[in-house]
Amino acid sequence: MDINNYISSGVLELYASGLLSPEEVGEVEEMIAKYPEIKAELMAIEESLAVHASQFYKAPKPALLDSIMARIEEEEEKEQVEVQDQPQVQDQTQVQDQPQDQTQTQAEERTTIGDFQGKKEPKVRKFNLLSLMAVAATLLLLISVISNVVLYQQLSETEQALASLQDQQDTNVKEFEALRTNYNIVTDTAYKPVHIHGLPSHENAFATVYWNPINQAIYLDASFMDAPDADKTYQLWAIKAGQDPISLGVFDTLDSLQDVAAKIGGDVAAFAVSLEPKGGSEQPTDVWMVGNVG
Amino acid sequence: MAETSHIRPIEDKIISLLHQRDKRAVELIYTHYGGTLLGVISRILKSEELAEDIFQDAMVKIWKNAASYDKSRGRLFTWMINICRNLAIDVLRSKKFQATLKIQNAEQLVSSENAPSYSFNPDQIGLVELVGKLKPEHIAIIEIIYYKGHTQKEAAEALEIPLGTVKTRLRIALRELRQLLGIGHK
Repeated sequence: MDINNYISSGVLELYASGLLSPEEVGEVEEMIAKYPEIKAELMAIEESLAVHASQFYKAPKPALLDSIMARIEEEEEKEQVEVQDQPQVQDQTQVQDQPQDQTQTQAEERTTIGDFQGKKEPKVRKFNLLSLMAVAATLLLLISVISNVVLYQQLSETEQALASLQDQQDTNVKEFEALRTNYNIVTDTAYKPVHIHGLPSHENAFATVYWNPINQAIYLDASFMDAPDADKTYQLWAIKAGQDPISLGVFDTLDSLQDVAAKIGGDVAAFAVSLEPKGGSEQPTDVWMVGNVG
Repeated sequence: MAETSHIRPIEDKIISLLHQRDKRAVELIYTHYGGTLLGVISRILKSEELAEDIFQDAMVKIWKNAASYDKSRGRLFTWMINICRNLAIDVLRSKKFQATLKIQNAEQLVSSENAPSYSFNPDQIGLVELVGKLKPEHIAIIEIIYYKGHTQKEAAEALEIPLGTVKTRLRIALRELRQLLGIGHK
């Protein structure tokens, strides 16, 4: 290959002027890579064309640079949206930092950013929905827990109230049973009511004994009597003719009719109540009340 | 080699910034080469407004395609001029532009002497005078190939010369230009 012939053929000038076909361009580039002299020749041609071009120098308006920079920013935005699907806050900041005098470009950028955000929006919305759901779930859980606590407390209260009512019911039933028993006794004609009246020094004291001579059952109603002193007690006696008083038991205060368990046979002349030391006595010491059997 | 490889600090700086994708590269290109690049485009399109549009396109393309610039094949400046030239010639040859031209005064377009008046950089006045020393036929062949985007065939028709002569005349014109400019002693 004669390099000088190649150089003087004029093909390098055509190459530098962009007048060769792609195939010819490839051939020239092979030659450039192979022969430094050919490369030097081409560069000299290009250099002279570049200097030649310099005579047409025309200072660009400063605004053009702003416009170019704005467009480059825009291109980068596009690239980043295409290449990576992740939004970058930094890029948006850069866009905002751009000169303000390029109204049209700014508008385009806004469109780009708008599109950019538009692409992102479904994800953001999805994320918001998830967040919303998480918040909702948390709230529901919280409400549920609070409800459970409240309901549990209410249940406890209800159960306590029920227990209380059941207790009350039991008490009422017992009281009712007692009253019914009392009523039955009081209204039972088999029982003889014996009113025991206070002696002259204890005129306000009063009690009643219901005595069934047939089955020997005795009930005492002492509900109107005041409680005795702490070291004292009342004692009920049965008095038969020609005998010492028979103790039927001791009592302090009685709310209702008391079944006096003791049994006494034969005719009873009277019942008496005495005030005795705590625990009772063999024989009455201070008789307060006496009631003769009618 | 001595001529083309001599150090051009600003160009090396721009290449380095382009590789780093640093946008200051664009500002440096604009400052140091923008006038010539816009000048080339204006020379081709002969419309200030359109030239400015294409200049912006070219600058964006330079930035986007910076990775395809191969330093071993030549100067960045040459590479950039070719991008501007190609974009402008594409527009010049587009049907849309041709349609626009028809509306305008045809006389203005036919005459290559009727190039728009440019605000010359004072440094370039000497260069214009220097280039003006070329023979008119050499000025014309460079103009018609380089700034009108004519093919060899179109150039041959426009200049009314044989097709084979186009290549020879371009070769001679550029050799004369190099001698005037003192580039590449041979």
